[in-house]
Amino acid sequence: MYPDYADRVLFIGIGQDPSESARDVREYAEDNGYPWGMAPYDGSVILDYRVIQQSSKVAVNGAGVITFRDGYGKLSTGEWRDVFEELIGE
Amino acid sequence: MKHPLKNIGQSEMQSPGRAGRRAADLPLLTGALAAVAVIVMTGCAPGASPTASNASAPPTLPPAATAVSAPMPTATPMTPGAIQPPVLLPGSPTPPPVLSTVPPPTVDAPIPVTPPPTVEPTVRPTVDAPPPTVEPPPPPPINVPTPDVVPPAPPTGHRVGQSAPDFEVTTVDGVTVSLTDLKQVNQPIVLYFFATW
Repeated sequence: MYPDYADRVLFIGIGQDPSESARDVREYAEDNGYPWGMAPYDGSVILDYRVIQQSSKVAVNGAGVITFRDGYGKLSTGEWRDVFEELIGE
Repeated sequence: MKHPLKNIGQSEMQSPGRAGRRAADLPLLTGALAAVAVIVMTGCAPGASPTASNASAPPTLPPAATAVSAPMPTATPMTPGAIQPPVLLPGSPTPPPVLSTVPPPTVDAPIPVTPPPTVEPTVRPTVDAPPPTVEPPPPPPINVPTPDVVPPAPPTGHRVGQSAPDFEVTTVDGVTVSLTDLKQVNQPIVLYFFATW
C-alpha cells in the first residue's frame, strides 16, 4: 500500500533502542525490505513526542499538526489507508 | 432804666417826618427785632425770652409800633427741623444771608452697594458619575475584500490536534529530514518508532 502514497506522504522509521547503532538499523531495514528511510535512536524526538510504547505511529500533516497517533500494535490496511487519505486530503 | 418798649408817648409815635421817626424809634426797632429774632429761633410765643428787669412779664409791642406802618408781618408756621428765614421789618437793616434750606439727606436713602462677585463652586465629579462612553470603531466599508484570516497555530504538543514538535533526524542513507523543511513545502509525514527486537 505504501507505493500508492509514497510520492505524497513521507514515511520515516526512528529507532527506540539507544543500544542499537546505525549499522544495526541498516541491516534490519535490508533484511525486511523496507523502502522507506530508517534513522537510528534519537533521544530528543522520543522525549518531545512522548513515545513510551514500541511501534508507536504519529502522522503529521503539511501544516505541522498531528492528525493521528497510535501505540503498540499493527494497523490494518484499511486503517493505514484512512491515515494517508486524511494526510493528503488536507 | 427805661425800657425801650415801654412808656413810649403817643406824641413820639405820631411825630411827623421820617428822620424824626428814625431817631425816636431806633431803640424801639432794635428791641422789636430782637424779640422777633427770639421768636424765630426758639419757636415759642413771645415772653419766653427773659430779661433782667422783666423776667416775669412777657414783652409786648407798644401800641405805637402797630399804628406807624403796616401790620407786623407774622412769621410762617414753624415746622420741626426747618429753619425759617428771619422776618424783615420795614426799615430794618438787611439781615445776613440766610443759610441754605436744603434739607439734609434723609437717612432712608439707599447707599449703593456693589454686590460681591458670585463665585460658582467648582463642580467636582461625583462618585456615581457614569464612566465616559467609548464609541465603538466604525464597521468596515462594504465591497472591500477582507483579507484571508489565518487561524492561529495550535499549541505545540504530542497529542492529536497539536502542533508537532520540530525535529531533525538523519537516516542511515545520510538523508537529513527536518519538520521545518517539510512544513515549508506542505509535505505530510508519518513517524514510525520501532526496535529491531
